[in-house]
Amino acid sequence: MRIQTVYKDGVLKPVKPLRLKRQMVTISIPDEDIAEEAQLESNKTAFEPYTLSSEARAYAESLVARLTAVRERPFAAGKREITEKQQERWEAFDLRAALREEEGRPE
Amino acid sequence: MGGVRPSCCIARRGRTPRMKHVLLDVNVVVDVCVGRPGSAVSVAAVARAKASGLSVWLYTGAVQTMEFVLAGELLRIHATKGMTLTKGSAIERARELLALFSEDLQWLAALAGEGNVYRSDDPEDEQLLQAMERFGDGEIVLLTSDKRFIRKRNGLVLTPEAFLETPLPAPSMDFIDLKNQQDLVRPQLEQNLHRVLHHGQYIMGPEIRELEARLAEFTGLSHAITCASGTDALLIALMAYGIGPGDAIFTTPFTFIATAEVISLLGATPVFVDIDPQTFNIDPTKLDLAIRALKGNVPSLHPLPVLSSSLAARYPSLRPKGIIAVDLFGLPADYDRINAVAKEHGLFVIEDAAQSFGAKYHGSKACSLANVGCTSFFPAKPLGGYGDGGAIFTDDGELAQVIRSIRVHGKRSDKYDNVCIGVNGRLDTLQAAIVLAKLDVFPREVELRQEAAARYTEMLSQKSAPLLGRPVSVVCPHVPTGYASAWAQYSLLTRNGAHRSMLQQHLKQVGIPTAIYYPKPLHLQGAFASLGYKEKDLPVSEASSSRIFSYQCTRSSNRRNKNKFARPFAKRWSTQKNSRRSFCAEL
Repeated sequence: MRIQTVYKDGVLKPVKPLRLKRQMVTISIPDEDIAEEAQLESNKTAFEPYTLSSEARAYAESLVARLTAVRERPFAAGKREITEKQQERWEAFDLRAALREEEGRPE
Repeated sequence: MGGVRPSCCIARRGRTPRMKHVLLDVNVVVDVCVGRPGSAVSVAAVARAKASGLSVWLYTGAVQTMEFVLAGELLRIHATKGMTLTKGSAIERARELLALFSEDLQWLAALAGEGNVYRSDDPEDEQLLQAMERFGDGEIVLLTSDKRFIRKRNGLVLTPEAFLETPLPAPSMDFIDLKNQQDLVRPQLEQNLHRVLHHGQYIMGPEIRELEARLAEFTGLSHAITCASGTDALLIALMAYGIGPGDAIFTTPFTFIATAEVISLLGATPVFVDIDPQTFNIDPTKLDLAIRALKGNVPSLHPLPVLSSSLAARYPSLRPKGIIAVDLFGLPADYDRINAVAKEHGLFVIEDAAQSFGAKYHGSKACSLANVGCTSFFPAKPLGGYGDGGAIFTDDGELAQVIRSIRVHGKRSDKYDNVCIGVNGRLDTLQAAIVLAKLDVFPREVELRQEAAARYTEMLSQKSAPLLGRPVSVVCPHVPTGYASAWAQYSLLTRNGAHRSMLQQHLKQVGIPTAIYYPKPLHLQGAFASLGYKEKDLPVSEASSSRIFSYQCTRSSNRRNKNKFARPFAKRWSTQKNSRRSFCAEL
């Protein structure tokens, strides 16, 4: 059978509760879905230009790894619509973005 | 009115010598969270600030801006990869990223003064600049990639690149580290303070009742009565017992002057009793001797105070009335023995728990170990507020009623019906609101202090001395079986005064502040000269005063590094090898 799982902090969790006859099962994940070591490595080398203490470097690497894990987590099944209120705000922030772009400013 | 504030006070600020805080603009936050090419510099800047001990702030007024701008950016990035993402999913993901990123950062509240900024050319930037006005000169910088913003406020506003190149002040330690604690309780603290500002009951407001109920529950006692200071707590307790001229109160000379000062203030006479050399608390055996010496007028049994001629004329002999035992450095005194001595001689016992709130003695909490317990909320105390404050504890309902009356000018039920002479000794509602916020985290705080003390002792223990590899000649604090100290201070006994000075100097050089509690015992203080005590009267107290020094035992932790509490001491030794070597040589 095929099941859907959510990946979070290195752990896969089925979207729906699952009852299995045994504790250990083997699942297959396509190679292209595995985060490449190269990516993890590039997170580390990204800070090389900066003179950081070992504590700062460790903090930076940990922060990037945790944020990357959240960013790369598959989105939950089902289309998530925004509310009318959110749509209004989205448009308002679109206006803000447009104004700042005109002024040559970042977000 | 809000509006635009002149930038003169911003422009004159220095850049880095006192930098303690970093505020992040929305674009830096988005940069870090979205992880786009080039964002490493923003991450590096945040990491450097955190690792350097600076507080990194996000502005609460920018919560929605961060959320929607980040969501828009996520949507844009997905689109460039040819992937579709709904706005709803983008918002959800943006929230997850911001929740994670902000986990160990501080939220800077948006205040009313930052509301009406609409006359500014950029209200959003103006809010941030006004929020920064709350910090001292040169203590905060804003990180942004907005070049226009930087041009407007050069020096105060930096790019992450510029921040990485800016020299930072050397990390420093305060003797009492209240900053880390405040970071932890700030949301509750702000909410409590604002609640008081809104209800406006600044005297005996609802926070007083709430604090008293929670303090009573914490100590397991029927009555907790807050008051204006730890000193007032002692004073009111003595007044409740009707102490006055001709009365003798036995106490330790190895403490802060407030303990004995209140006795003299009421016209009574302090009788100083020497301390136990291991615990630094009043010695019950000598206490018994002192009481017998006073009762029998036998100064050869124990040194006794000399009475002034006027007092001696009115009171040929002092009446022993009570004992004030002090839980020095957070360690309870030996109350089983003290209470037994008191019972034998018909005296009351007041526990001066100014330093020991949170400590335990054979399963009972400090403040509950005598007839009356008194504590202090002075900022440096284990449960410290942001000003003066204190509390009195008892299980005696009648005594509690008298204490409550004395606290407010000796009033009965009506404030203009005064039945005895009292004091203006109420705790402010605002101070109660602060202590309440701190009480939420207090049990964990005590645990962290105890963990830190255990680590210090392990590092310096004469048995193992793992740090030094050989026995050391300082004496670590002694905690008898069945006691748990609140560790207001961690105090070491050195070989002599010269040895103490050298050790303090070495610690100062590596940025670890120390203090001497107490450099001169009370019986030798000028304020008590009239009592006629002389050197060698109380030799253990005198020797301890010349050899002891203390360093901080407060929390310094965050969620990601709970062990940081004890680390400064060990870390500085291990990273500054020369200092460590010479310090160890002295040990």
